Amino acid sequence: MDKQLDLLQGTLDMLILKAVSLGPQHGYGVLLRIQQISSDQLEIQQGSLYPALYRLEHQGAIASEWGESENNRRAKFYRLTAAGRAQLRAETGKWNRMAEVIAGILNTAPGEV
Amino acid sequence: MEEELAFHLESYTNELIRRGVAPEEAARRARIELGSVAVQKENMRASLGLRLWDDLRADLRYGVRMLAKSPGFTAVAIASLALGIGANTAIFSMTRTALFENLPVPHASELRRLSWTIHGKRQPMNHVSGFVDLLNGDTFTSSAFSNTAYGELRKSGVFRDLAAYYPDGNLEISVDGNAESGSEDYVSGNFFSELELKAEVGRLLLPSDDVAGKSNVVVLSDAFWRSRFGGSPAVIGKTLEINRVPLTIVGVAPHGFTGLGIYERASVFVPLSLEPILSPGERTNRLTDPETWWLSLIGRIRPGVKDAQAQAALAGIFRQTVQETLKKRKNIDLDSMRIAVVPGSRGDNPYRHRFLEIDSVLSALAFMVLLLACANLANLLLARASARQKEVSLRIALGAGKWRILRQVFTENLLLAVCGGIAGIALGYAGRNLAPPLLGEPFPHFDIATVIFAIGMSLLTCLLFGSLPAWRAVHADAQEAMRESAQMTAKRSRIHLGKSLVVAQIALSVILVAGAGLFLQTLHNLISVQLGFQPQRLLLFDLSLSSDYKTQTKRAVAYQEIAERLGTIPDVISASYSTDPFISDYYSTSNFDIAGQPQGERVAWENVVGPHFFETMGIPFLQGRDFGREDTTVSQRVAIVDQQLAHDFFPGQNPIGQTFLGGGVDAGNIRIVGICGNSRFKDLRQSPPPTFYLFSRQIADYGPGGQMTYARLRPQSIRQQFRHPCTILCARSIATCRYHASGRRKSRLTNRCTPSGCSRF
Repeated sequence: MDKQLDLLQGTLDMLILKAVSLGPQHGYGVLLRIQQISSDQLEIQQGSLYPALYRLEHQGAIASEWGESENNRRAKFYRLTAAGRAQLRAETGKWNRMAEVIAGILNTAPGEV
Repeated sequence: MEEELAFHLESYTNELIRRGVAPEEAARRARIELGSVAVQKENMRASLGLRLWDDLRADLRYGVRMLAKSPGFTAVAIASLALGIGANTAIFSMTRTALFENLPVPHASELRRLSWTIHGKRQPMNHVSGFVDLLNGDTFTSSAFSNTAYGELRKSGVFRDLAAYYPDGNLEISVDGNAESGSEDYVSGNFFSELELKAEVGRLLLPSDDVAGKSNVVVLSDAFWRSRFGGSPAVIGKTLEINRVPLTIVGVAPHGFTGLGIYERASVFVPLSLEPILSPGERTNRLTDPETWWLSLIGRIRPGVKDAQAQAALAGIFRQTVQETLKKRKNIDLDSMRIAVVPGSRGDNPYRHRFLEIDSVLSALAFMVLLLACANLANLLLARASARQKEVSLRIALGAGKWRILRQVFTENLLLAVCGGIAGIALGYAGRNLAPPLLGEPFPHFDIATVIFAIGMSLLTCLLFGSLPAWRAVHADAQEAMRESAQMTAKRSRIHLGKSLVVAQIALSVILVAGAGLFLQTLHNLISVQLGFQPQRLLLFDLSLSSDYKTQTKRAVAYQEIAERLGTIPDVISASYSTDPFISDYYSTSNFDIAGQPQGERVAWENVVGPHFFETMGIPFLQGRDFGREDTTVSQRVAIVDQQLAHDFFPGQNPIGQTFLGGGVDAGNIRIVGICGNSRFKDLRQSPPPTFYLFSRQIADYGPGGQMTYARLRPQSIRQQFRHPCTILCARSIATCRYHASGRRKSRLTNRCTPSGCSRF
């Protein structure tokens, strides 16, 4: 297994929103989906996943309901709400701008300034 | 939450197993990666903002567990707090009712009452009704006015209007032929409009009802309406008889209004103009006689008028009225008569200032009890804090914040305070009626304000007793404390703190014990005081004759007959009566002028008594003879004097055979025929006053309507026989004299009279 990257501070919420925006998913599924999309490059602390889910639900960005999991077990499924969708869009935009700016800074060659 | 986490663990475990990890190992790794389920849950709840609530619940649960672990400590703590809070609550409810409760009328603060004073201890007119204050130094104070004075004062213009009222506590009200004893207020026609009261049903009295003889109407109090008529609106237009005079019911007074007297609860309100018709026993017409002062006055002061201005405006009118209407009397300086404007928002409570004194003492005592309880508890908590130092240190060492610890300590304290507060409210409720009879106060209302006060008290105590131990707890250095606690030693400073608390406790206790000791001593003195008469097996009958007995002569004969018939009952040794009841606030004074000596200097107390009086009361006879059959209306008037009078007015002489002028009746000389022992029939505190007794058979038309009848019983007699001694009267109260005297003793603590005492006439 490749060396995994630690998650940047403050990005977990955004990733959860993204994972859930691809379709309703239970907590463990969210974890799997993020790891899967990142090709196991990102390590998500399992301990911080559920508090983040609850926080987002409390804020109204995601909603939950109990359903059946793929192996026929009762599981709590999270889905994105309208507010969550807006939040995801805003955060994605913000992230992209930030990444551009930072990449720009880091790519600056000597003499360019 | 738990289910969700379990699902997570299971899924992850399965995943690991699929990857080829052994099942147990897989489960272990899953658990490690997720971390403790409890911690996980706590974090999840924290993310929902439930942290504070969770902590509080945990603190409470922990607090309850800790308190339950030491039930002894908890019981002592709650009991001492309950005593402190309970005492304060009970006294507060009494204070509030007696001192701060306004009359149930709109804008009560605008109300003013009138009173007057005169120099010297004697009244400047023939009759004064209502409360008279003689204790206030060398001044005679009263709040009764004549109808003439009322008419003049009403014209002053400083009040919007001036209303008059007179509470009469002694009448017979009959509804459909069923009579009962009740009290009424005679009120002027403008009384209700001046108080801005609205009728519950029908109408209230109007100025048109002031026309004498025109308006035979009555307004019921709400309570009377509900109890006798079931609150039926159909009552309007019905007839009700007061002292056998039929009156038409025109309305019901608003709920809660029972007149302005704080001790009297009026059942009905009738126009002033009916007074001569309803109370025909009086010799003079009170409405027209300027020498009868009986009306209490109340009015709303005009906006912007200061009390001093009003008083100045009234003073001139008052002086003129007094000079024009009152006869000049010897030794009475009418020019020293002054009118005063006094607050009226709380109605008629003449004992307010005296109550204030005793109440502040009681409040201070109760507060000291509470302080003591707090000091006590603080000390206990400190001791407990030392014992729990290890626990606290451990928590600090494990990373608990100081605020967290502080909160825990305060939660526990608050828990104690709340338990103590609840118990205190219960105790205060149970004890709310203990103090008022002792002071002769009306029973207090135990309402929401009282409960709020008790809750406030609980929080205050929590701060008082809890802050010190809490401060101690968080300022402990964890490392040092753990080491120290291990060695079971305590810091010097803590010992000092405990010591100073103990000193405070002892100081407070000494004050309280000394105060309680003095109180008991006073009670003991009053109980052991020589009454001068024998209270054992003495029955007192407070009887009111039905209104068939209209004339004084008829009444006198009736009382005599009652006493005679009582005397024939086998268990009664003897029975008698007197015009001024023993141990009450009624007494009559009279000039005692001896021939050949300056007139008007001596004043003695007089009482008119029936046959066998001294035998019945157990007053020892010292010299001379008792009243007998030979004393009649036509024979020489005779009197029996007590030792005190003989000693004061006839020093070194034998008073028997001497004559004097007095008794307030135009009887000429009265000859002294006997000397009896002193008795304290007015006041247990003062030394017996010089007293002379006159014989009722010689003075058939003497004295007011109400009299006290006494019967002395044989030791084995049965009280029940006296429930209905006579059918012609309704017995208002029958009490043994021991009870009566002990009641007086209690109220004598503050030198005041009981409601029943004030209301009798």
